[in-house]
Amino acid sequence: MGYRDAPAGALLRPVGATVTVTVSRSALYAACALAALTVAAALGLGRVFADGSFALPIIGAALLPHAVGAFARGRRWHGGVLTVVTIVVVLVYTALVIAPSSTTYGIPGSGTIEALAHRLADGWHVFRTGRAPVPVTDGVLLLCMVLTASVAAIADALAFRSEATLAAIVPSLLLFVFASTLGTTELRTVTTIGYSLVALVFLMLQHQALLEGHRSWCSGRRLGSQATLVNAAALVGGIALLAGLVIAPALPGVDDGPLIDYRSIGGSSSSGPSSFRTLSPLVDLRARLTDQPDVELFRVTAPTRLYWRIAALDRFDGTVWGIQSQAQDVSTALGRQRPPGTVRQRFTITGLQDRFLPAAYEPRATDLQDARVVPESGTLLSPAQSITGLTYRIDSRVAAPPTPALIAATAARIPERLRSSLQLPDSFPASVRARATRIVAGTDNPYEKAKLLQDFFLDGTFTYDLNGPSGSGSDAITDFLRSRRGFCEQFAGAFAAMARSVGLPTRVAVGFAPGTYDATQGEFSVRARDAHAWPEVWLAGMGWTRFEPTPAGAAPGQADATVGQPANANASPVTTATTAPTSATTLANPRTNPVPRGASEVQAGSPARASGGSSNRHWVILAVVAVLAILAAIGWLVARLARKVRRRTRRRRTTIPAHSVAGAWQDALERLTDAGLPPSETLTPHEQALGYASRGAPPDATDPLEDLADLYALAGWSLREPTEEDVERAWSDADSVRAALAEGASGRERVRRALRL
Amino acid sequence: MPAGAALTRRGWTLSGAASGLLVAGRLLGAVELTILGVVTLSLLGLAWLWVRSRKRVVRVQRTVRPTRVHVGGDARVDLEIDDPVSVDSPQLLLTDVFDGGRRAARFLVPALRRGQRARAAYRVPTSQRGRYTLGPITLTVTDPFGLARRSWTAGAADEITICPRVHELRPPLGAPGRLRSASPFAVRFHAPAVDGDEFLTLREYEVGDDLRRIHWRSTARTGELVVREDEAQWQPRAVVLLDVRPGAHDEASFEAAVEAAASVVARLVRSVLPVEVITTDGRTLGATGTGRRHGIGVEALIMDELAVVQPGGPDNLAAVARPLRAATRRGLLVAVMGTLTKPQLDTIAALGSPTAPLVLVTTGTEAGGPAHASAGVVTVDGTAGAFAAAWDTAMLRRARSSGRSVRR
Repeated sequence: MGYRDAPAGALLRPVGATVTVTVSRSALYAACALAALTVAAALGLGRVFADGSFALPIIGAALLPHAVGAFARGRRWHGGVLTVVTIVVVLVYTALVIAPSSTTYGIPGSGTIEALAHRLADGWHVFRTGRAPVPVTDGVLLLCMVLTASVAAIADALAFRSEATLAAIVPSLLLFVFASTLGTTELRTVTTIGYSLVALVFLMLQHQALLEGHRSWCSGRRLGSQATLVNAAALVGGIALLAGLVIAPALPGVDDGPLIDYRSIGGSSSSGPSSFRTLSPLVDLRARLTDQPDVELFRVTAPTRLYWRIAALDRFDGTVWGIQSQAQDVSTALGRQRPPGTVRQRFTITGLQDRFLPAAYEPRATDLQDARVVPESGTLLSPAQSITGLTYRIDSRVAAPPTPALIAATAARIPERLRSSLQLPDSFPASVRARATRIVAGTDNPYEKAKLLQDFFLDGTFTYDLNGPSGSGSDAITDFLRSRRGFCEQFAGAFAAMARSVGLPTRVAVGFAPGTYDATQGEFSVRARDAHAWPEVWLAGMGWTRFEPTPAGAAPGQADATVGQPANANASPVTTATTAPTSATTLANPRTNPVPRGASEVQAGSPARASGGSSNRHWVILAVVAVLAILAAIGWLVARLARKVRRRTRRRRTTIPAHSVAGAWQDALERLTDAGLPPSETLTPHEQALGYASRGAPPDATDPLEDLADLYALAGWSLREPTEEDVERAWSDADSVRAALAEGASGRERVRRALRL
Repeated sequence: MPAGAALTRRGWTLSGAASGLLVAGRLLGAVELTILGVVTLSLLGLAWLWVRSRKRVVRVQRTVRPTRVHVGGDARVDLEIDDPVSVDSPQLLLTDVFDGGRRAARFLVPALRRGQRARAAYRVPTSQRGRYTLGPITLTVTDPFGLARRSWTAGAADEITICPRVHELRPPLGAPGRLRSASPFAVRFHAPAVDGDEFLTLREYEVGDDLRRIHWRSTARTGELVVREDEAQWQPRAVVLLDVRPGAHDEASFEAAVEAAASVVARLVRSVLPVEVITTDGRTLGATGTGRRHGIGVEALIMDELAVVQPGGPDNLAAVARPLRAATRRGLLVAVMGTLTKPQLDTIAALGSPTAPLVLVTTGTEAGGPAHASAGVVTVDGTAGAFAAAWDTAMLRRARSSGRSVRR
């Protein structure tokens, strides 16, 4: 580094130097550049998200720690204070962005932490199970904000507290590589070049800021053109970027794919429609209902008004409903010929962007070629990233209304394979369980139990409200039962969890209401506002049966009371029934399947591989971390090596013994400087050595240092040339100093020293 | 300093990181990492080339003011950098080293256009006497990212002499000029009248001789400057004996001794008393002649010697002391001594007599201890910090006791 390469020795006091103003300004530039670098890396997350709405909150999270850091430097805050303040500021910021309703005039309360923790858990779930591009949900956003803020805070501390220029780039590089590993391959060259550009700007400004911090300007600072420096940087940096742009893609083997297939390390093969994950469709249900509700997603030709289902969520972890099932090839699970007694539907996907294919429950035959299907839930999956534009045919068997005989027969024993549909997390609130037990008291018949539960939600005390809190976890259920306000996600989720608690195998289905019938075309037009969720209960003799705890109505996401009627029965389905919409009769029908979007943790790989697939993301992270660790290790080794070489040449090259002794002294001082003990400004070598004893140098270092100081003083001042023994002794003293410093350093201290590059 | 361009530590680190990025990019099939690696490697190469292609154009001039300064005084170095050739010089790092690199002044030289000038100045530390070198200046050019650099030296080395600290003292016994102003210029204007002395001989001019004594006729004849030498009337003369025996001093006491000697010399010169400084190893550090070769020039020469004097040489105190008996009788003898054994103390004390007392300044470990109980010895504590006050007190007391008859 330029400002460290001068001969060891104290700085001499410059006269009338105009230091302060210029230093703070160049440091400010460097701080801005580092903030820009964090923002650039954070914007790389755009490749992970489906749309751009993540950008503003993330940019805020990137800038805040830098702003706090700059403020703290101005006030000379202690590092601990800075850390605490940064955490508090980021917490308040995330609370205001993610859960403003939980704060009191912007001040986070006890509910805020809880709300954030839940979102974070949601986000973590999506992170583990989703696949880019994922929709911008609160949980993922929060996760990325926390990540970005941490990157910003660490980089800021490294750059301006430890003056570790290269190390300061590493956190944002980590974020950038993280985003590019998880993200789509879109725009990878452009984003990389953009990131490199900002990194170069930071490198230049930080170099300049450090130079100005360690040296004084000559009085002629204003004389020369500042542009000279910028021009040189633009020339060197510009050509380097151009080289990256031109040479990198042309390198042999760059398009050959990875030599280590880290994406498959978790188990599933990287070829073909392997296991994949996507967002639980429940998570973004409300976003779908409220953002652009009138966008048409698909059209269906069908003779009956049915729920177009996309997925059934059969796993409840206390936070979110998800899927963990194995998919089979559609040709093995479903037939191609239409079985008798089925309802034929013809789907044309217009705006739906997902892997899930809408279909009425229960699909029995299709003309789809390479789709996959989860047999027990009838969930259909496309191997392609997006199904937009797809046209296909489905033949579904739709259940008939239950007869009293069927209802009576539902009391049979539950088969073992459905045990998982009864599971609730240990943390499931006892109060909710007790409430459910009270509601179903008085009957043993499973169908009647489900009916009583449904009536509980439809008794008129529950209000359909899209603006209530989102979520279907245990806490959300408790809140929902208290406030009695919510939308289909809460109704379905609460029903399903409570039904499980009273021994009914239940799952949450996600899909779409029948939509608007266009008599001229003979088609249903299904829009985003038709998205819906409902519970399905397994009943012996009837199979999975749809129930409808959500009050019917015209609002987006409400139940459709006309389901099961002929297609042309009523063009505006939602206007008929308002309360008690789903009679037992219509309920019995419900093998009808709504079509929400997204299911979680569906694994479409071969059954043997499917269970291991969920750890894939961890392997990706491990791979990224390992790569960066290797990079850091190599850089460190090279620096060590360069230093060793320099030390060796210093020892050998000179033929003048006095210079060799001086080299040893200089070497020892450099070691001490690295250890955070720079030589003091006004001392003789001997005083210097004595001074180190009181300045916290390890005791083992001070004796050899004193000896070395004497040798150095003799070499410099005495008429007698140092002998070869003197030179030997000087260097062995320098070695002892180094050894003592290394021995006395804590692990943290060693890391800090190693980072000062 | 090597003249070629070389990578800095940051550059070497980055080169390692670039290789790692390329390897990782290939292993993981990540184009992003490959691009970053290529950018980094190109950057290093370009930075090296850029640094290599800079020309060494700027000119640096150093001015040291003053070149001779007492310990604790102010000395300032001015640097002037200009670019006589190139259209635009790059921003440079300038390092001027003091005392062979033990200390350094570091500056940033802005990019200069032809004919533009940058200035910088720094203070030289004057806490230790000695003769020090300044320079040569090292100029370093680095690329804008600090990855490569090239250094070369510019400008010549200069010297600065830091003379011992001089304390303000009362005039010693028997010295004229007691009432004179403290201004050093006083010396020049109150030089003793030199006319009317009996002409003795001619000799070559020496530094410090009064120009009025130049014998122009002889100078014209010989082509060399020749001065008249007169038979001096009886004139008091002072000798300062400085103890340089290595065994008699530690570092602090030696510095105190040199300071004391320098202060006495300065005082005597101001009092227009010829003074000679000799050391215990028999060397003469300088002498200001007997009334003619007088003045600041010679004082400066003595101070230069005192700036660099170090303990050493043979310990022949007795041999040096013997001829000094005569000196005491002719004037004042000030002995600045370190630690003395009893016999040594007796040897020195014997140089004084009640009529021509010896001033014994002791900086050794027994300083301020039992004074020699002889009427011919005035003992002064010469340890650092105490000397000036001790000297003044001793001189005042001596003047009171013996000066009743002297007082006008």
